[in-house]
Amino acid sequence: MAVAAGAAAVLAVFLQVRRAEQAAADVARAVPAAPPSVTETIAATAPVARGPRLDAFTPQKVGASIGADDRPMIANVTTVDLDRDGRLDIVAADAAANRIVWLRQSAAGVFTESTLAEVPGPAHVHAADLDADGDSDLAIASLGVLFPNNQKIGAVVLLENDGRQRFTPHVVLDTVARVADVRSGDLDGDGDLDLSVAHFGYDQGETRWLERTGDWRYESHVLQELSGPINAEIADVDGDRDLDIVTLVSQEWEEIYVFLNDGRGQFTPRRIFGASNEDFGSSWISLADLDGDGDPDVVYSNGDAFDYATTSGRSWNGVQWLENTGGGAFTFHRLADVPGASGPQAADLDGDGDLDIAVVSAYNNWADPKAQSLVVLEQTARGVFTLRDVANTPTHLVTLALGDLSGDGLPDLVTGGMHMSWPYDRLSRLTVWTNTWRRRR
Amino acid sequence: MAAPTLARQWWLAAAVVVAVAGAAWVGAGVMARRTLAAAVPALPDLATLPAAVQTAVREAEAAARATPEAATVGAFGRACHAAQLADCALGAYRVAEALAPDDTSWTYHRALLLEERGDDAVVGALVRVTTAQPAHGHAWFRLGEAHFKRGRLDDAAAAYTRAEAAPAVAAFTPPGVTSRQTWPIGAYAGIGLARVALERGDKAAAQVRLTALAAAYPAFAPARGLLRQLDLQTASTAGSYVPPVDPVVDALVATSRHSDVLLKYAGLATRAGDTAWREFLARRALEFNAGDRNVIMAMAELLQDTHRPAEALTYLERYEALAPGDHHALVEHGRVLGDLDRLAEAEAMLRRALPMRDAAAEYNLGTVLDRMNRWDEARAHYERALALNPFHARAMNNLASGLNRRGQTARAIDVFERAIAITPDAADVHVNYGIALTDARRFDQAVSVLTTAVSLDPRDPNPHNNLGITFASMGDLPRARDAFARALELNPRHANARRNLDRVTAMLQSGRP
Repeated sequence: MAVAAGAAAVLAVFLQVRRAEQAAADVARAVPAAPPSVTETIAATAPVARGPRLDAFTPQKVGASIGADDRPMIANVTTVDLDRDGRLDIVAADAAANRIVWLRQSAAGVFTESTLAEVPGPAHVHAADLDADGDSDLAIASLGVLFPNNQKIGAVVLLENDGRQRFTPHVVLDTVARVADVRSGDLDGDGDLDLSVAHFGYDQGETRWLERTGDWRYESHVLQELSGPINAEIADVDGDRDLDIVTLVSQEWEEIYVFLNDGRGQFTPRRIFGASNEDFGSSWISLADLDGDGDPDVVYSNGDAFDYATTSGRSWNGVQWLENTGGGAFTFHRLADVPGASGPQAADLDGDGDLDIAVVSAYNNWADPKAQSLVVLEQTARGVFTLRDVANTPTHLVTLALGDLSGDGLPDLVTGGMHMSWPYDRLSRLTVWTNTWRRRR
Repeated sequence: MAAPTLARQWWLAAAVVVAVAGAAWVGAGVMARRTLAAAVPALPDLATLPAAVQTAVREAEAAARATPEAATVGAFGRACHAAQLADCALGAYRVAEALAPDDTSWTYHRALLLEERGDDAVVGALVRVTTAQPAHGHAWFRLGEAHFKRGRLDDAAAAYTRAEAAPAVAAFTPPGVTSRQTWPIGAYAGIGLARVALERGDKAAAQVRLTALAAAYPAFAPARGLLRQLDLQTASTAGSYVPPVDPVVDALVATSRHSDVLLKYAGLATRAGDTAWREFLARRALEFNAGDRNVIMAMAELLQDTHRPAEALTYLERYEALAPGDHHALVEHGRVLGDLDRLAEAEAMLRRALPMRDAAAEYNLGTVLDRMNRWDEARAHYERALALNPFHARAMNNLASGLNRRGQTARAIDVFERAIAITPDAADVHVNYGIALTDARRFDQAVSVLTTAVSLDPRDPNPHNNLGITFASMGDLPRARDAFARALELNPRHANARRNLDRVTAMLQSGRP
């Protein structure tokens, strides 16, 4: 007892000792088969062709208004006729509110916003009839939190549409590295839709596919353990009539992979591009048959500048075309320098029969009025693109979707703003850019 | 007589030929110089660049045109390169290479730009450099990377192996920078070889190589990062990837006046803990871009990170004037005011940042209110921070510490355990957790947790001091004395450890527990 009492007395005396100090805040500053020869060719760098300014898109802010203190953070946007009324609607991942929102187009150009689901750190929304009941369901990639984090806080959330736009959430994968992308496709050839998943994580991440095994049940298969996957697109890239997966892996890797499918869900990875500039800033890929030869090419932007204090673009930011040359091989083409390039999407914007590319910019020198937040790469001849400035307002556009929202036969654009850095004078959440290009021609 | 005449005619003809050839030679030289001068790329549009950057590029261009030699034209290329004018730099480097075909330094500079842009021509350029300079470790490493990224694993492995064997080169140290925190290019080549092994499906070989690298260079984040990717328990934390430091690149960056270039490398230096180089770059950026808000913020962050809050405050005030209402700046400003004990001002500043609904603002406001002894309000903000970011370990740490101080030890221990699950390498969280366990009289656990804290930060006296308290609480005064003595060894001015040691020593001498 004496010892215990003595110890207690000592303890009382020592309670004056320093408690470990509260630490400083952690404020958010938060291949194709190569040519065999390595003979040097000193090719001139083609100057970026710049065309006259393009005044072919009429912007209209849609959805909820922006409060005086709000800083919109739309991580992703897509277009889909969710209610099957013949008009395209907009679905967006609102990372500021941790919500998936639906902007129903009830009449031409009239959008009404509602919340479909609360999802932490929503990064991407993909629409597909996941349960084959005739309506569009939604596959949501959940980061958990938007800012860098190594915890297993990611999830894949599927929103089941009952046909009357009442959505039931199914969390089919959770307690995993932060999820940045989910897409659907029949990867094992059994007639139902499986999923490809890009787990960005932070220092740890991975790519996997989820095999559908029953109603809202999936079996997980890891494809690759590299941090930083942003996209996991699905398409038949090698023309063998099964679906392959194309991934963009950022962080220090800066690589694009094709996972070639044997038709039964067995995949062989092949790196189709890699930059040895660890600051290349990979931001997005999309797939489109840019050269009209019947196979999907990769449209690739690099413009991310999230890592550093400065949020203006880099001289090497831009848009690339990885030309599919068959058999899972690709040839790299630099198309244009675009500071802060993000979210490229290809469509025949001018109605001339070939595909053009719309690109947004999230990180740019916004103090410079010439800095563009939306540009178009007009395809003027096969594989030849001319850069056209479209808009410098609103700023900080990170995501772009295409769709004929106006029903006039021309693809319109929808953009989302991610306002995580100054200036805050040209804010937007969601903007519809109605395409009038062909009418003006 | 015919022979001499013929001879004279022959000599005369020869003299004419020589004279004509000489004139042609000189003329060709002049023409070549004119051609080369004309080949020096034209100045691009500099209008959007800061005046200091424009001046540097214009001066280099004028020198190159006046004397179109490899050195001047190459220097013009470097000026463009340092100003992020890539096309201009590539053009100038090509001309410099043509002027001095045996000097591959300009080829290497061009390769740096090609690599930056993901251009396939980088391979050929680096082959040329490594052929001419077989001991150029950085060129071999870059060539290995270029081959690897293009799927040529055998070529990549060969190049990485050459880089690994290349002699070490000293890091670039400009005046005023006395030391650099860098890792040899051979270590990065080891990472490359590990990736080749992984790509070939030989995970065991990759593991062996990475484990050896992590052992040789314990703070080398790339090795730890890749180990962590492999989900091997040998690396509990990785740290951010830091690319290799190249003396050629650093020498180029040190001449830059462009804030984006300087701040990019300052950012990398921050990651690497290369503090003196970081400060050199940030101050250079400030010298030439005094009104650039990004530079001002970089200076504020540098001064804050190096415990100079009063100086940091002046930069944050300048930033606020340039970008009023910037959320990040408001939070930083609040933090610095807190560091300066100007708590009421810190509170006001952080409240301005709350509308962004950012966990960092809530957390920092919580810490300020905590220090003002407004616990209920502080707790509410910690909880709001956790509602916004359920994985905010710092908020958990402070919330749990506050709960423990107010006698809610059981609840505090639960929160600490969550915080440690998220940040298993945070020494201070372990210390606070150890204090709570001691308060709960769970002494064995407390000793274990505090011993972990010691291993996580062996140079910090606080884990030792708190370990001493735990031993004392257990009645183990000799071990308590040793722990306090160790704390004092680490910091002879640690007042609490001194007081504790004196008391324990007195108790031991008096025979009183």
